[in-house]
Amino acid sequence: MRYSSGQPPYSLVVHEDAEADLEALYELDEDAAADIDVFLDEARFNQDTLDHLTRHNYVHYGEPEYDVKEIAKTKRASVKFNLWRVRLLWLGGHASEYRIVYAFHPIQNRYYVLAILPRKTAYEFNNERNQKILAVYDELGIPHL
Amino acid sequence: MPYSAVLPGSNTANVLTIVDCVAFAPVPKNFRDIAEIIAEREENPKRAAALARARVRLSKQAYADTKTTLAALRLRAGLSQERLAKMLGNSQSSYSLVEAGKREIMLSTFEKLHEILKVSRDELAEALRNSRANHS
Repeated sequence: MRYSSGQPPYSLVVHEDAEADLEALYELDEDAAADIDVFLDEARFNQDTLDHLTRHNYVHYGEPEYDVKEIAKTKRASVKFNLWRVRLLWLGGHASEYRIVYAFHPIQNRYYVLAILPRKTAYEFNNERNQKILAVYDELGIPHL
Repeated sequence: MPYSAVLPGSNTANVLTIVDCVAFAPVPKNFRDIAEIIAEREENPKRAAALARARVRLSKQAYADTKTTLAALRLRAGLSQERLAKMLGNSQSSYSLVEAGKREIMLSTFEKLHEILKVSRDELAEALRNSRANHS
């Protein structure tokens, strides 16, 4: 998805579950949680950064370094979700151990941050937490791919 | 695109011009703006300190090899756009245009930024020039 002047600007909002994930992360690793919060806060005002968040395998080699992947493959074999994750690559060992999971609504041009998950569980869509992410996705009415 | 309209019978002094109009979809329940969440977190001094440190880290990462901009100076001071805008007595959306190099500032705002960001006037003037150059 490329931003153009004919579209509304991108926006970004955060689900209460992702908020709770971050609140829990503050107790475990304050610096990682704050890095993610600040990344989201700054990205919200930066249309270029938001534009990158739906480019599969995008790696921002400049500073700050981050990469983006589509995680549309799920256990629902015939359905693809417009679901993505970003990993912050700076400060290895802190925020890079977590994945910001978000959906993109192409009509609203809006990013919905759904969860902040540890790397190990970010791709297992058969667990309860990730099933909830898919349920929230469906409630938002975001078209499947 | 700017849109102008003249009502029948009006003179040209009564031209209505819509410069920009953006309609966002309503935010669904259970979702919030990140700025609102951060403003709440910053009420906790420990969280506020962690966020300020994270901004300084980001300023070192994001602007290490580039010319200093107003955004870099703000992050270096550990401030969010929302917070700095409030300190200036502006709205965040208005301040963000300054940071994006799309809006000039008054001398009084320049002086406030000089005090809040604790940088020399020369450094601030250069950062504003760099922000504008990035935009153009």
